[in-house]
Amino acid sequence: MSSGIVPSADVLRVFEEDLKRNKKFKYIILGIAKVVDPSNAKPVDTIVVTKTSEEPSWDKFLAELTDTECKYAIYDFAYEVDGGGQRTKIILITWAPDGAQTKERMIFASSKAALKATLSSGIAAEVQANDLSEITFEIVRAKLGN
Amino acid sequence: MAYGGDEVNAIVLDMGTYSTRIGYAGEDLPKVNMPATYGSVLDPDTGLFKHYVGDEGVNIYRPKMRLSNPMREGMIYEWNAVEDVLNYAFHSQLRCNTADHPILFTEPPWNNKWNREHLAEILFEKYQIPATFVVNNAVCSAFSAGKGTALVVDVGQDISSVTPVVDGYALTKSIQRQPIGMSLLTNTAYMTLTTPTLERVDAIELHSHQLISSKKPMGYNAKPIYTLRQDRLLNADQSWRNQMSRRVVEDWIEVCSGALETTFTVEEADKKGTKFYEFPTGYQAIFKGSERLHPAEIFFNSSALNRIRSYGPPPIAENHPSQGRMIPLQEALPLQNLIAHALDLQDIDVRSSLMQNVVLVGGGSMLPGFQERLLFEVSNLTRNKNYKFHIPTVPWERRFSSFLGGSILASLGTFHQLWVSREEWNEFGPDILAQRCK
Repeated sequence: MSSGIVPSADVLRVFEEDLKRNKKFKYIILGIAKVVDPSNAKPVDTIVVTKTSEEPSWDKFLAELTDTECKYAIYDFAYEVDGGGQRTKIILITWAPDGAQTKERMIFASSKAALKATLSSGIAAEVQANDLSEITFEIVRAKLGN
Repeated sequence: MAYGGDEVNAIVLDMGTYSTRIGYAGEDLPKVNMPATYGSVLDPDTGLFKHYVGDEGVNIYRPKMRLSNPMREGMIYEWNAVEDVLNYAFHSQLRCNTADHPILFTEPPWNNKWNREHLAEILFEKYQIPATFVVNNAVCSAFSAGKGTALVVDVGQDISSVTPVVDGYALTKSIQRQPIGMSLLTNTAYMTLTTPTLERVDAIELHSHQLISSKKPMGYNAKPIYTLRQDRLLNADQSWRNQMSRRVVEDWIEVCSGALETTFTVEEADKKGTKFYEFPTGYQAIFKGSERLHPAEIFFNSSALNRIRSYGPPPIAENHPSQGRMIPLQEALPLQNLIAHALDLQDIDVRSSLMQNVVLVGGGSMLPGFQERLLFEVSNLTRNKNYKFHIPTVPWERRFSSFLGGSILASLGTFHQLWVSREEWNEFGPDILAQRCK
């Protein structure tokens, strides 16, 4: 079951070109906002890019995850594998804090499937978090294996 | 597309075994929250049964009125009675013309295709609704907690169920459910209250207020002095008297009961303190922790479960098989075992996501200590400390979690493209429901 909310064309472009191919950004934050549908000039809820960042610090990224606002994040996660060697994998984060309104949590949870379908390739793991204890560096690292 | 734009004022229909919730999409609370049961009285002139629904329908004394429940396990079994419930809700309470409102209805994850399509057919044909959609109430509960993936534990009126939801889909083959719900808790508390103890030498009389004409103010634990309405006692149907006594017990549960957070012992439970309660007869009692908290042991403790098996509901003959596994009362298990079973059926990576996203809903989630106890038991049973429970902090969100989820979805402009319109229903037939409402 899904909400019918879909990502804007921009989301796929920024993900594919800027983050995945050109490694221009470390992460992208996505939100849901009204965008005018050109076919009937009506504002429609759409998943949009709200922020892009080159900030390399994981802790500074976590500061984006505030107590009262739901968001999605696509993060280029860098880690070391056993026996040395650097890897990066892209993760999709759904952030739905208990302090957000139920309506917002519902909309973000029910729209994630459409976002995932749009991004289709290149997402190595998903994290669904309601508070920061569910999205530590170690938890994400453990999801990625070796 | 038949429906677009935000102007559509949809109605949300959320029927359970305990109550029926109906209201407008976009609102947090249902406009109508009425008992699922209905009363019927034989009219001697016509030889037909007249039905009474709603609070004022069933809770008021009427000579010879028999109470029945058209719902079992969250599914509709008596369709004629359901139409009376819907007529009352739409016409007397909401006072709306259903031809103007799309209706989104909720269903339990074990609902079957026939039941779902039959309700849609009634809504389209009898109520002339323009469009419909059906949502799975476990998925709604997961979503309203902000989770696309969750293990939804629903302690409802008839049954407790465990439903894994992964990426917004209920895994129906893994559903575990059994007839251990709030109704059986009421039976158990009923036995507790009507069994004499050292401090209370008489069984507590659970007459409801409708049967009492006068009572005297008495001190604590004094034998109550009251007079019964003899005319009502003679003419009330046994089913109505039972139901009203059960309401007294339900109120006692709400005020006094709960679960102990750890393994039950009399000493530990008594540390939780006493609670005062006054019954409709005027009888005033103080209940010790061990008395108040013991009934809820049926959810967690095999020996408590063994004692109450004989009071359970009768087995139900299913005309149309429902989804997932239904464990009969005789083989019922503590709730933590049900969770462990549901998890065992999942792949290891999904299992850990589900463990960390347990969403507790239903009447049982309202009991103080219930969540803590379940976490304690399931962690001990599976020797795993990685469980994380989520429970809505606002009590009415717990009570109405599936209504609220449906209400939010049905209010979204983008969701309207998903509705099954009357034209599509006529053109493609009932199969369109299963295709669209995934």
